[in-house]
Amino acid sequence: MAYWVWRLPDFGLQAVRYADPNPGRGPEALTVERARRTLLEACNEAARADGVAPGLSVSRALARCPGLRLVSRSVSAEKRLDAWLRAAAWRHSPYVELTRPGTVTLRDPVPFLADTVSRVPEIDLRRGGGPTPDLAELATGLTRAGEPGIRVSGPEALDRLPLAYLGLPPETEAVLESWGLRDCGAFRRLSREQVAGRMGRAAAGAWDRLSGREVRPLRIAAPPRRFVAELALEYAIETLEPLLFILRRLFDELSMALEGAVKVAAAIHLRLALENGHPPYVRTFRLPEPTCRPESLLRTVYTVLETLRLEHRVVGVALRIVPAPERPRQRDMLSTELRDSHRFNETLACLAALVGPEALGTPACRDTHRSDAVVLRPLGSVRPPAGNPENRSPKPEYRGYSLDRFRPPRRVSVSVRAGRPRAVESAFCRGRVVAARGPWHGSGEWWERLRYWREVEWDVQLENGMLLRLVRTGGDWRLAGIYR
Amino acid sequence: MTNHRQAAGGGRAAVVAELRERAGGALSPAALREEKRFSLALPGIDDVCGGIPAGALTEVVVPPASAGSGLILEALVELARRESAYLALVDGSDSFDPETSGLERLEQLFWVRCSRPEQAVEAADILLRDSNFRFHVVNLSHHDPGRLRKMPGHVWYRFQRLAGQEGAVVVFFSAAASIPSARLRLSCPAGGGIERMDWPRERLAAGLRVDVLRDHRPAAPAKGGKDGLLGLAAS
Repeated sequence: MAYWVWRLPDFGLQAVRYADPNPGRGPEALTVERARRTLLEACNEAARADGVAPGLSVSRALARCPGLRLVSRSVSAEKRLDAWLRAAAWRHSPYVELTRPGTVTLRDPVPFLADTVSRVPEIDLRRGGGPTPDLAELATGLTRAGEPGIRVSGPEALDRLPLAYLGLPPETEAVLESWGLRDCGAFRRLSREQVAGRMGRAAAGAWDRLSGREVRPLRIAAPPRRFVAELALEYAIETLEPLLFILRRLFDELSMALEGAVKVAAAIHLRLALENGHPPYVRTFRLPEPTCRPESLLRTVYTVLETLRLEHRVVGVALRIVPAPERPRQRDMLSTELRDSHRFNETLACLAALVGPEALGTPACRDTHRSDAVVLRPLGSVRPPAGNPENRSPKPEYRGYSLDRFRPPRRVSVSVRAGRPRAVESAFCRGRVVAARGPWHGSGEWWERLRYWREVEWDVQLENGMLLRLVRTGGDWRLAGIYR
Repeated sequence: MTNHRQAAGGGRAAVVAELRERAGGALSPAALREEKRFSLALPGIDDVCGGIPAGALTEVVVPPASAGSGLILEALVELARRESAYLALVDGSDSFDPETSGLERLEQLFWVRCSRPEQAVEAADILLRDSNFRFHVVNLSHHDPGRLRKMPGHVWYRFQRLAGQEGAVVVFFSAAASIPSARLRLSCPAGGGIERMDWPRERLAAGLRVDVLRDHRPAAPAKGGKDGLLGLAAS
């Protein structure tokens, strides 16, 4: 059995950076109030290089590093980062222990998926593996930022690890240092009885963890059944950019949680809390094709948010994913399918805003003799006839040129002699009719008083060569279209 | 001297590599030379210009008393069906008639019914950015060519660029030559007599003859000369 521990060092500081759309690259430190004094709780590598260390007062730290950026702890940011860590862990193994905020232990995980951290490059995730959970956690101390995880086979591999990683009481650590013991190897070579007798249970416990003699049972946490991510903001948002940053973070987390549960998103519920208790903005997005790709989820929401104007500022964001089981399907080589249904959905939304949703789709002719009886169906919903093409009814033979219709038909004045059109005059065309074919009588739906129709059609050729279709309904002549 | 030449050659290669990285394909006409043309199964077009180019704009001029634009549209939809691709028809004046289109199967067709040329151009702009559609037809033939000519020229060149990016077949129908960036421009002939309304479509298609008003084939690289706009393609 293999155990891996994922640890986010300087968790509080990393959480603040995770929530910051523009995290700095210089020295940073997290401050905390203790006994009316502001002390440093954590600092990054750049600050350490300038001599800054946790426990220093702010004034001393600024004296050593004038460019030090001080940040305060954010509970909401820590929750978000911890949720991300959990979701990432469940993506790799169903057996996950939430060891402490910023640290998770996994049993028998799949090989590490690089895209877990490539999506959030500013996160420093240390991974250590070992035969016991404790050795795995200690192994995280052997790695540095950006390095792959290290798996140790036994306690000997940890001999060079500083004593600080054992979590000993400060006074015990000071005693050991006074004896000249500075690393785990030296501590491990001490007799357990002597350690327990002279330094107490805490030191004995540390010795046991280091020796790898015991495999403590993991407190396995249940993966989430609801896919919800929410964030109460400490500041109000006015523009789209910071909101998109937050949404991207939340979708990343939800996407990993969905992957871990082998599910995909069928719909997204978005709720934006507005300042001063105004009613929230709520919207549900149905996805054209279930997916768990964070880019697709964000793009779906972005299309709407791009044009959204709210009266009040946003002070909270909540997302709920309606999951659906993942159903892999094989593409059909013989029929046409959309390459990117999410992209098409965006296109459809843009076109619907431009021309209206009723003006888009695949045309289908209604089963009637009434002219121009066309309905529009969603693209992809009209399927070609199934079965062997040889057994299908023969293709109808089309004759003549196709018609360019005028919708609605245009008014036209027609001179008639002996029941046949002789001349045509309208805003579109005028001229003598040199040839005519017709009349073709049509009627239908006589059983419904309001839908009853009756008309007479003529095809005429004008002296300038134009081929027109004329329609007479009652006594009115109309120009139905031009043959091209 | 040799060393100087080598140094100069190395420097040029470095400059070329940097330019290529910065400018991407803009400096390389490779895409132009590898033009692909689709046969429409219309002898009157295939024989005279080898079909309709992919990755470029084609303009079909449809004078009021002409005939044949419906046959070209029908051939394009059939081509899309053969290629298992979708065709977007941006109908600038909502004039497409599925009943008489001669198309038995319309499942490949996505019809956008517009009322104004500006609306149609905007819809085409949206659709050209969607890689789900490899074939585009924009029918502006019922609109005043003057309105099309008043549109900013960069619109048509943007369409040209979008078509080139996606390798899409983009065909505009217009009442008069209006699209400056069209690589191929055809003109439909005057319509025949009314007796042709009894002819089967196949006979009409076989007899369709178009006039080629413009056919800008990408130039072949000059013999022994430098390749590409800045001599970078061969480097």
